[in-house]
Amino acid sequence: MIRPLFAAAFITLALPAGAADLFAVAGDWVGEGSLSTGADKPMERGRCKVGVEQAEGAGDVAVKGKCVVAAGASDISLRLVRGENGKVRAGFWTAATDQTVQLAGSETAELIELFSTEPLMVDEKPYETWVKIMAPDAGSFAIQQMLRPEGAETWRMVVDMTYNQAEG
Amino acid sequence: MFSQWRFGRALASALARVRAGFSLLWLVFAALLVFGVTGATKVTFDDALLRFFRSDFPAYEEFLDVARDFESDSNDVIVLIEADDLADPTVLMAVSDFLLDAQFVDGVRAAVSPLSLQVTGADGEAEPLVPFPLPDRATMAARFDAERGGNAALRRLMGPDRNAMVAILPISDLDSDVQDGRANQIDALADLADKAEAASGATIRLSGYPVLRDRVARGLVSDVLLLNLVGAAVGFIVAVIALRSVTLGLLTLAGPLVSLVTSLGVFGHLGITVNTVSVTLPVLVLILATSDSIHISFERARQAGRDSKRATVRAVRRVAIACIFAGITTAVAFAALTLSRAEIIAELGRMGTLLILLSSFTVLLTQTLILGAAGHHPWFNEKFERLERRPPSGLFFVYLPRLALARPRTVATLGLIVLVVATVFYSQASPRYSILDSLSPNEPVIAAFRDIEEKVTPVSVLQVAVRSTDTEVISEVHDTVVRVAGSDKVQSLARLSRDMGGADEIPEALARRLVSEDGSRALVTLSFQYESGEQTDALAARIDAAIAANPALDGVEVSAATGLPVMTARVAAKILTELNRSLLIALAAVGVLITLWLRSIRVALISLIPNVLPVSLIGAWLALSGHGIEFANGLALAVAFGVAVDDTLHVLNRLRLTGGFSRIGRTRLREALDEATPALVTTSTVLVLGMGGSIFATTKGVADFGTIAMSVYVLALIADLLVLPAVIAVFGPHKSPAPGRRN
Repeated sequence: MIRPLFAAAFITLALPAGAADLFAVAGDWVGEGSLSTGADKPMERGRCKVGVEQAEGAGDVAVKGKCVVAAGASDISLRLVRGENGKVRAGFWTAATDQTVQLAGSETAELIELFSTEPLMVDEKPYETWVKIMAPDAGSFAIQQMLRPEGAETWRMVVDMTYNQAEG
Repeated sequence: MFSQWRFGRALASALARVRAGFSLLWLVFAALLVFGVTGATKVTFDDALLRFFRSDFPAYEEFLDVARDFESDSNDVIVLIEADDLADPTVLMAVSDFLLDAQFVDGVRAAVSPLSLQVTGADGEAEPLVPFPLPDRATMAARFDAERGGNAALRRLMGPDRNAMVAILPISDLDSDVQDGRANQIDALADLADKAEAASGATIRLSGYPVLRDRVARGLVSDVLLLNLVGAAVGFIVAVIALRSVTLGLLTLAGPLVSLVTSLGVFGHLGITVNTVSVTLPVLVLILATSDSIHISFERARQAGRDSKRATVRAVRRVAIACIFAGITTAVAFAALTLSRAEIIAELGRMGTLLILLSSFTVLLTQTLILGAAGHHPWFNEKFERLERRPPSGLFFVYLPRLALARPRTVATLGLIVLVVATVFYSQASPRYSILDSLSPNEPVIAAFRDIEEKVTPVSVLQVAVRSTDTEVISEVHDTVVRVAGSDKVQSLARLSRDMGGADEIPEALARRLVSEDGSRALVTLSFQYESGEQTDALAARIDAAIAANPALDGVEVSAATGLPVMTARVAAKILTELNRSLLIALAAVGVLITLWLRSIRVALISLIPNVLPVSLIGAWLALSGHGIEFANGLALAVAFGVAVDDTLHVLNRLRLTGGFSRIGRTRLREALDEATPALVTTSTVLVLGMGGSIFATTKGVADFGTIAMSVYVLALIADLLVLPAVIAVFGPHKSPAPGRRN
């Protein structure tokens, strides 16, 4: 069963090749990489397919899609909003737990970083999450998501995925 | 006089007033045609795999009760993946791609496969059984082999030689109930399988009940087209040959085609789906209407020399009673099915009764109008006069009545002996049913089913529900099932919880199959290799008995063994018994109808002999050959009996028209049969060959139905030409009627 934590990372999976284009893309994207289906579960091969729509003008992106691993799938939905002075806020929902989580962070030309603003509950335990979005080349972007129990020091990677525009 | 007789007379009278009423009849005809065409476009198809069993039998209600509380395996697409070595990274990558992409197909909720299993790694942490990046073949092979011995889940999903594995893709209920949605799902999965095959060289086949249902539903569409095209073509060709005219053949085909369209229109307008049971109904209507139409054409030829329109009306009037009565007897056979507790059989009975009666009316109306209208042309009478001068041949069948009347006692005695012996054997035929018999064994989905069971794991599931989630209670039921089945392929919450260190860790998709939504019931499931309905029923009965006799389970509410294979086996046995009962009811009802029609119980009883004989002979063959009575066979015997009576009725009608039944001398018997034989041979040829499309049917039920029905028709023709004259000659009335008594 897919747990909610890795779904948190999908808030950024629709990001374009450069941070400057972050809120300008639309269409279908496919992500390939590894996911973890639980806070202490091993990473396994995964794939995501999402559709991106610009909502109400620039700086407001709606993303809906689905992520799968060999054992199961989860629908996801998120909204990403650009604030002033390079700030970014996000809210996302996943069908796996029907839980909505808020994140906030900042963007630069090379990187977007988002941190959860409230505990992410996994198996009834609170966790913090940290999301990094990078653009290694013009046609793709990569996402990494880390997780740690609230108060812990070490982050554990739960998502490592690279997205490309879907064919057709 | 009973009502049908009056109806026939009334109809005949109505037709006799055609000079005044032709315009009105054309209006009725146009209305029927519009009704048919508009309804035919609305016809839908349904595999009815589960609806077939909807009934008030306890086994079905038990199944529903468990199905309401637990997720069922009946919506699982089962994928069989075969390769020389599944540890090959190229194969595993393609399989992984397939399983990931499959879950993006609408309605596919999850995937269960060896790739979804996790194992304990060298560091004591959980890790995927199939890690990524993939290791080389030797490493992966060693990993599979090492894990297999102690991992029951892997043993259920992968064969011992690493050359076959299964993946299970549960489909959501909502989508699987809609044929279009299901067809799209199966198509999408098949495309992905093709892609994975091309990438890896592995063989990937889809199976499971959703695939079976999809194939059956698609097969129904092609079967309906095939059956009716062959039926219409055969009707036309036989009519052309018998009537020695392409034009007359075309005219003969008008009524049957209008009957067919009208019948499909009834399906469409009433919103009743064409399913595995009713799929043969339209073609039955078509060939019976063709038979009636040919009788009308033959009679029209006998009326040559009269004014064209009067000759047509007179021909229809003379044949109408027999046609209507033949329709009624066939309808009676269908009506007997309405008594079934199985919804779909009762529906077939209602539709059959309605359509056969409607068809009788439609073909009489249409042929009256078509032959009446064509009668304006000079060529029309010439063709019928030519036919009258050179009447159709009864081929070698004409010798059968002559043989019967040359040695009536011998033939009658032999006929009766064969009837008694065949009936005794028929009564020994046991009901048979297999859900996999919906399609031919050569169908890919069926072959994949068999291969999965042979190469990887049994996929048929027997379920026992326990009103408790106490692991000790569940374990007791679990152990009882293991003991009775002699198999370790038993799954329950208790065992999984123990193996996985706590119920919280059980994947949700699996948990929904083992614990009810409200948490009050648990399910113990046994995977077993399905062989037949009897084997399944016997296994279920042994488990029921062992649980009932287990003192540790006293006071615990445990359901009877159920699950799709158990329910279908138990309900099928009941339905098949009902079909036999329907046949007996039809037999009695037809006897009563003939008695009322001819006012002679003696002739009625005599006339039943050649009609029971074919059914008993086929039933005896089914018993002796070990086929048993399957759904299609049982239905075919009941329906074909009703159809086969038609020939007898036309012989009796010929006797009625030539002097009645007070005294039947051999000369009159011979003359009646000489007249009737060509028509009977022709119409039987239509009946037999008209069902010929069933030989090529996709759905096995249609093929079986057609084979049995065709056999009955052939035997019925022989019985009517050989046994009927003999038994009438020996047991029929010979003396002159009492003074004052009229025929």
